[in-house]
Amino acid sequence: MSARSVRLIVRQYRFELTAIVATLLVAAAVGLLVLARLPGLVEQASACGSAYECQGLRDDAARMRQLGGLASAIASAIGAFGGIVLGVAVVGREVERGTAALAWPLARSRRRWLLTRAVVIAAVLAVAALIPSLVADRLVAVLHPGSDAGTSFVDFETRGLLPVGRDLAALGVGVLAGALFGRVLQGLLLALVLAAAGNLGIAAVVGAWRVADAVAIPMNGPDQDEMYQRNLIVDTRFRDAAGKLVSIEDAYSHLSPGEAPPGMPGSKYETVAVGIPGDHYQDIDRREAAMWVAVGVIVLGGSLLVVERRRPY
Amino acid sequence: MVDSSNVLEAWGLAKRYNRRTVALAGIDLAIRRGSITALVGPNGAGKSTLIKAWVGFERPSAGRVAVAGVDPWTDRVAALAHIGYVPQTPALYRELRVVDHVDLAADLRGDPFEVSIVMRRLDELDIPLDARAGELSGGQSAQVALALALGTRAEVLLLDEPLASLDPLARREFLHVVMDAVRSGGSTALLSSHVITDIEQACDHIVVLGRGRKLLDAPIAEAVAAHAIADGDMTGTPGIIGSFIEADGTRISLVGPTSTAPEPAQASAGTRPATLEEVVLGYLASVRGPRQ
Repeated sequence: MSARSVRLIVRQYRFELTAIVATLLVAAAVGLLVLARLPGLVEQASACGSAYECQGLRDDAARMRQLGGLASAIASAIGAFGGIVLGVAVVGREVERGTAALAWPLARSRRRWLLTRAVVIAAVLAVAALIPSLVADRLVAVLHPGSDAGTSFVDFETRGLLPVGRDLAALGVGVLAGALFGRVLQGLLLALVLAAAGNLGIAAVVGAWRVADAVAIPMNGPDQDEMYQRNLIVDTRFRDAAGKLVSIEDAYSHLSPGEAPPGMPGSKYETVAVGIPGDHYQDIDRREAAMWVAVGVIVLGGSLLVVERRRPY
Repeated sequence: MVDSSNVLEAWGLAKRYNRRTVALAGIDLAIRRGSITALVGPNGAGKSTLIKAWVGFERPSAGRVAVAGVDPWTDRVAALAHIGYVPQTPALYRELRVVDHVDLAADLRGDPFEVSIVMRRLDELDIPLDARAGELSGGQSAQVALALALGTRAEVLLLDEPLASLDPLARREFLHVVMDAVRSGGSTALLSSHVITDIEQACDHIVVLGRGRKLLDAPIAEAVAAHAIADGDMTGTPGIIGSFIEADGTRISLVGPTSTAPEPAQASAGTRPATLEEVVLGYLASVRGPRQ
């Protein structure tokens, strides 16, 4: 693939790419602003103390925290939605406008035609989505003091590689929906439905996956909030005197009359969280990002089949 | 059976979109190398469907087609290597400049795409290379699409009513380019058109389709020589192809051979030689019913 091919493909989708990339970069810039200003504000508020005059500083710091969280959330949502919009345009818009009837006979191989476009757009989207995602990584230490981005699951769905993988899967879904309908609006609606349904299905798979990897994490530490943020908690269980983990239903079924229920003071059961320790964050981030990319590739494979067989009008 | 002297072939080609809509109903056709063949018929006759079957856009419901001996549905890449296609009302990428289309086509096609041929054609036609495609007229868009098709150096040009939206001068220029490509470049062209004067000017062979069936398939000179015109509505009379009304309101009938491989019509009292337009109208009338 030559630089000229890349330039021409980018030019064909420049409206969508500009809008999506610009939004992602603005979100990243807002994150960087928070990164630059929040520590100073927190420090000033802390030095100022709890006096009424210091309330303004505390409010500013709170607003800055909200802004940081919002920027990451918006970048995450725009990345996925942008993936769908771009994906639908790849085939849907070409068929709708009639350019596919010109391009496909020229290209001879529709497979090559589609893959070239999809790869270029996926690369641009991935780079654009990675920037706010990396900024969100840096924001962890600022928004959640004491948390380390590399060993904590705090805000893990909006940072790291996971949003990038999800955006690429959304791109694949968009391509498929556009190829099926050959129309932008209908393709967009179908892609949104497919993405929502697919998200539910994959959430179930990922949930089972996480449960399989989960271990018992004691809940008797001094800071429960920190424990919940740091680790990816998927369930709560009860440990009996023999060290066996049981569900709440099992614990209740073995309860003697007058005995303290599980989770209550005096219970013979120790409450434990079941989850993936924060130390495994990077492995899980990579694994789930790779899974989303794999979903995108599979869906793109389906799009290839559709494009091979469909009419260009 | 594949015949190497034919570049486009169809055997028993049928295309049904649903139980009611039959676009093509058993077409047998062979387009000889080096010819410019006109494909004529009313709207819905199946002209575009036939061309799209060769381009690999439409899968035959029955029968099969071949481009230079290759089935475009089962081996599209090999078949399209032989085809330059200009669609009906060609759509260009409106975000791109004309010159970008040339680059895009070169990238899409790979070797052997002749950028110099395209540039020369565009230059001859005064089409501004830096203009955005969205700023071009319909005629200029068609010319760009044709130039791109010529750049492929394909053996056969499939032109699906590209003249429909062009003014007379643009049509003349377009046809000149096609004729030049066939005569000097050794191509073959199949031109779908409604405009008889264009066909007379550019084509040496004619195929008339009606209701998905082939009504006439002959060299133009033979087709004209094999038919005659008789005054009056003679529908139902043996040897009469069809009757139709002339611009002055009189009704005339096309007399001709009943076979699609025409023999010279027998001159007889009350008949005169037919023009190409009358031959076409007579065949079209034959599938429209007795009184049109």
